Amino acid sequence: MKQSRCAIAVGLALFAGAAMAAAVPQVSSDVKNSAEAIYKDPVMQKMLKELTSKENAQFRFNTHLELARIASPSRFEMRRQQEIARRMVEEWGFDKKDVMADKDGVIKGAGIQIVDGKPVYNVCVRFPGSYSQQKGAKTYKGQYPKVLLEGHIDTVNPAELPPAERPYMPVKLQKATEPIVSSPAALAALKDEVHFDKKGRIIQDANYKKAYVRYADEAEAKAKGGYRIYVPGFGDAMGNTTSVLTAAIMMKKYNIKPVYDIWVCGTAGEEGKGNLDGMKQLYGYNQDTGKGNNALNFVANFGADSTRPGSGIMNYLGSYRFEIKYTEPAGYKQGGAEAPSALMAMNRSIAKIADVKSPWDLDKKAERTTYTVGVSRCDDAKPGARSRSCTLMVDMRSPTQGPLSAIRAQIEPTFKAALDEENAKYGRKTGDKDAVSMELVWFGDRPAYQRPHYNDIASQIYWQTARTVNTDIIKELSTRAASLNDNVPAAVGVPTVNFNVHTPAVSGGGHSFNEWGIPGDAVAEGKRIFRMVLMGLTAAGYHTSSGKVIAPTAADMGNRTTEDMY
Amino acid sequence: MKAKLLVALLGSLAAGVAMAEVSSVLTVDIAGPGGHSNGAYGRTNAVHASARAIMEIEKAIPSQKQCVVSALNGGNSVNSIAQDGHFKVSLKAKNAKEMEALKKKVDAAVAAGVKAENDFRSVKEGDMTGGVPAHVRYTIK
Repeated sequence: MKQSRCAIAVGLALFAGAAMAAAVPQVSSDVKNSAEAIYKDPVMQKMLKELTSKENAQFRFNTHLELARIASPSRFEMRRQQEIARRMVEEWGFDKKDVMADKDGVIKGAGIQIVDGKPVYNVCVRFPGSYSQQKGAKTYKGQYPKVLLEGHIDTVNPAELPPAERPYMPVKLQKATEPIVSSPAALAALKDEVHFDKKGRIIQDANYKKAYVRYADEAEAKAKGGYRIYVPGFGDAMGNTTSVLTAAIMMKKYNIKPVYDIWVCGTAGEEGKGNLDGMKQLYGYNQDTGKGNNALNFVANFGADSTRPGSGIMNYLGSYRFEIKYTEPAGYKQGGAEAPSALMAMNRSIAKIADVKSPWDLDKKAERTTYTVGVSRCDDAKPGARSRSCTLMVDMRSPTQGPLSAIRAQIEPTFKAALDEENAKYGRKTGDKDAVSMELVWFGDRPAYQRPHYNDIASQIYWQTARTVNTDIIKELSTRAASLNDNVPAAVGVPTVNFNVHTPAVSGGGHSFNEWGIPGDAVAEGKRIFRMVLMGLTAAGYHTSSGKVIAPTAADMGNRTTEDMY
Repeated sequence: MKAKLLVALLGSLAAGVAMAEVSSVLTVDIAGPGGHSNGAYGRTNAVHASARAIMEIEKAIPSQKQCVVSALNGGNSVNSIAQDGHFKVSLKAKNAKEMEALKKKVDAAVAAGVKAENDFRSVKEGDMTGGVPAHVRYTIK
């Protein structure tokens, strides 16, 4: 966010803060009436009935585990992407032309195709709307307005893509009354597993009967001999993403016709090194400029990635990440001539960073700006030699762009200052053949966004649909910032909200090797999926079964922060 | 007299340049509470502590002939507070007595670095965070 926009946002925030005590959206009558009219449509009611049925609950459970077991690290989501694309065409009723998923990661019309030098493995289906046939329909460079529903398909573990012969993670079972496994060895030693056939379909055997029992909560699961299911991505995020895909399946089955196009995507790159690449492709966001062209012309964004049932996130924590590698010339031997050290160059940088006090360190009432040198890695060294290369990884975060840029300005200069200091100590200049050199291996950018007020269309729709569907009604919005896919649409100016849909009885181990969960209330989950469909349709407009057209409530032109195409 | 001085000088130079007689490689392991980089911010960081310790070692033993640090490894992901830090210190001394002195210096330096990280985060031994010890601590093998 540019400085001037920041100032305006701060000003508005102060004004808004003075005007209202709690984060409660003012819902327009259009939004209220649209949501209620769409909800009442007999076709939508049929969909709700199916979403809350036992059959759909079991379908979701099976699909969840069948997809979660496919290893899918950030930037290597192609296997899960391909399987989802296959099911879309072969099982879920979609036309090949409406599936936007390419082995090479290209989405026609997207504002950027390559992110961080690599292809992007999003998988999307589109529901064409009627808007293009309207008189006076507007486009942006040929693209009609569209609404996005999404959940991410990358998972933190495993960190590396396994070989093609072993693409699946085991799905282990453990009695819920036993302590959570505390090491990868202990997890591997669990004897019970959920079984799958050669085509990747779940087998409904004795272990399936242990795994597929739904409970209201952890206490009930423990009391009734329930089982914990271990597979990375159970909660974050294949539970939510399976629900998002189910929304698409239902919309297709019930032949839902929106006014604006709706896209439903399994997005790539939400975690770690993914660097939000999936959303950057969809929104044409270039991190070199910090701007997005929104070439596809999205007008509203709804994401499901919050793991706690009932939760939602309105503000998006910005972050910068750096991976810096220091390398010294070959041939150093202890006892020979003294020479600058790659490790000491890196070390000087870390030592300087360790002494940085963020504004929050100095005043707990200030914005929560944080940083960490999360990783240090050096080459092994033979006896008498020393590490030839060392790499550090640093992460810094803040809810708004100002403090984030400020802490970047404190930390980033240390990389080169440390390098120059180490070289100078031994009479070298950076750039000399016999000096240590430095390389920026990777730079990650997740733009910050703080809502200036809560009356945007996404907030209104989020608020109203809870009441219309009678699910997850809250007294006020959570204003806490978190780092999510929504960072990208928010930074580009597209209204967005992130919330929970997946409803386990309990889950844990997020981002860890021992991520786990126990299936929960399927009716509550079905209602949450239905609410997500309703959110999309309230924004995009809807053709009712009686022929009446409920107009979109989202704007007919998407926002963008640049018109440059990449 | 000049000749005697020259011989004496040459003698001491030779002694200084002569191959060290005792070698030792120490492994330093630093442990901390870890945690999510944003959610658990404020905790001590074992890689930060390692860096502080290594700067102290350089101050205490500036000669590369006597001391070289290698293989600083720690932490498991960019968005975590590093839970561990490990590095090797390769020491060379003229004799066992000098080696003992160098090892003591390394120990004192690591202790100072670890203390500096604990002080920076206002943490002392005995403090707990999220059910684990909050302070960074070290072992040297």
